[in-house]
Amino acid sequence: MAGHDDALREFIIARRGPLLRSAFLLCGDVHEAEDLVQSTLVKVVLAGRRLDRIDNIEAYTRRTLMSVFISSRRRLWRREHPHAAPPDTQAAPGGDPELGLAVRAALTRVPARQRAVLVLRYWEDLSVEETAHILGVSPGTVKSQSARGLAALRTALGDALPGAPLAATNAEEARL
Amino acid sequence: MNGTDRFDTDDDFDGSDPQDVLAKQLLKLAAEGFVPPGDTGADDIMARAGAIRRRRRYAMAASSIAAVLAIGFGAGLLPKLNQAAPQGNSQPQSTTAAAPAPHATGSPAPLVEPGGGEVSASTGPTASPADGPDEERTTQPGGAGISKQTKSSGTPTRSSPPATASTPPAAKDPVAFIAALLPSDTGTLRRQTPAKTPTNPLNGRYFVTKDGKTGYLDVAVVDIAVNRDDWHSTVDDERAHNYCESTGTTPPNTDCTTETLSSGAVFKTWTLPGDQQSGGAAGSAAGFAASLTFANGNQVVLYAVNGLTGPDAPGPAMSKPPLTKSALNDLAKSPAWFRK
Repeated sequence: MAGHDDALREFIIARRGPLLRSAFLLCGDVHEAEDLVQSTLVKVVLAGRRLDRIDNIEAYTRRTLMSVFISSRRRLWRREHPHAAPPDTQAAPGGDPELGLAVRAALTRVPARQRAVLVLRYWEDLSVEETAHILGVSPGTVKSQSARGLAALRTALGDALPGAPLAATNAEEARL
Repeated sequence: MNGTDRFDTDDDFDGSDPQDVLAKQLLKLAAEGFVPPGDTGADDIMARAGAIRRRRRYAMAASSIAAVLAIGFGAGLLPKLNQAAPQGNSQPQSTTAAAPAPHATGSPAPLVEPGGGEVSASTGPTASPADGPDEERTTQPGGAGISKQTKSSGTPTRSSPPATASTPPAAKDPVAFIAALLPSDTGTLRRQTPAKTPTNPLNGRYFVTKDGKTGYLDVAVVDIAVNRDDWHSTVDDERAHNYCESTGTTPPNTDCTTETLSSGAVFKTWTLPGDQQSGGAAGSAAGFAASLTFANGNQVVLYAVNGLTGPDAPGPAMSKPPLTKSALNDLAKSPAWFRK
């Protein structure tokens, strides 16, 4: 049992940072991201014995994070204010903090389920099938939610979005 | 830095779809500057989990004691109640017992053809161009062993249970389980081995081969008895969701319908136009889809698609989906997808 707890502790230490980044992209707030990850990891520890039978603890953890996040949006939908909180992240050297802030604000306007798909597909770099397995939906649903999420993100970004990639995307759309 | 050169430097994205590149770069920008707190919090998390475990053990012990007390109390009380009950009053208990099952959908028709015969995946060694080591295939010979459900001619009673069972065969043999739900002339069924353990043992893609053509069924089930901690849709989410909304990137789905069943479940259907094939990847041909979402969080989403197109397709696509729209709808409404 102690060995199992040690393994879980190591997993928490190794995965907490990446999970926090994903959670931050989901909710847009550092403190709420900490809460989401804390709740997620508590569930993972509680499922410890069952996890012996789960091949992929990583997938289980991602799935739990998404579940905790979606549940929190259902409960706290009134509290989601895209511009209410001041930015509480540091500017990365060479980055574009202004655009980063705009993207974070725009992300909070994307529906929660679509946001979850965007984070899994484009931040965690999972395939359509992997995303579908984690969210318990069909690959077709992932594709449609991903396209809708991206469209909502582009709409929310508006003028903040640079011209070149948008133009390429529009050209791609026009071709289809 | 101008708007263009923010996005054209990363080697990681070479050769990717422009939309994917844009999405990845935007999320990367959004995450820039985020510094996780230094404290790992591992001790806090383990302590919280330990406290919850202790509370659960305490609650379980307390409820066990309460149950023992209640049984003892009931055993002592029942004989007295029976003596006090008026004569000929033995029926009311069975009235409550005959109430509809929680998953009753208004369409409890059996999905296995009563005529028996060759049922779906039961065609044995039929040549299949896409047979491969990465696929499970049904082993049921000639439909034997596939349980039949028959409609009771009279009023439904408890003696005609739904297809659910306390130990469903789904986890042991999903292919045979699903084959038993399909019409008899569907074809040979085999499952594409999922890349990762699915959240529900039934979830995945099932290729259907008939007359040398291959279509497929996609199955996505959220059963709260199995997926208790997983994300699940609510009936409100599902009712509000428009599957025919244009995404702007692919042709939209068509023929969207929404129906609220007598059980309160939301039943949706739509027609899939088929994906746009890109590169060497296989695209999906046209098909039908149905989703059924219950108030308790149970959900089944099914796709019946002509097949895959493109160089990576497992075989020539069918001219029409492996199930009719009506058969797919019946399949989605089967209570067999969920445990009790």
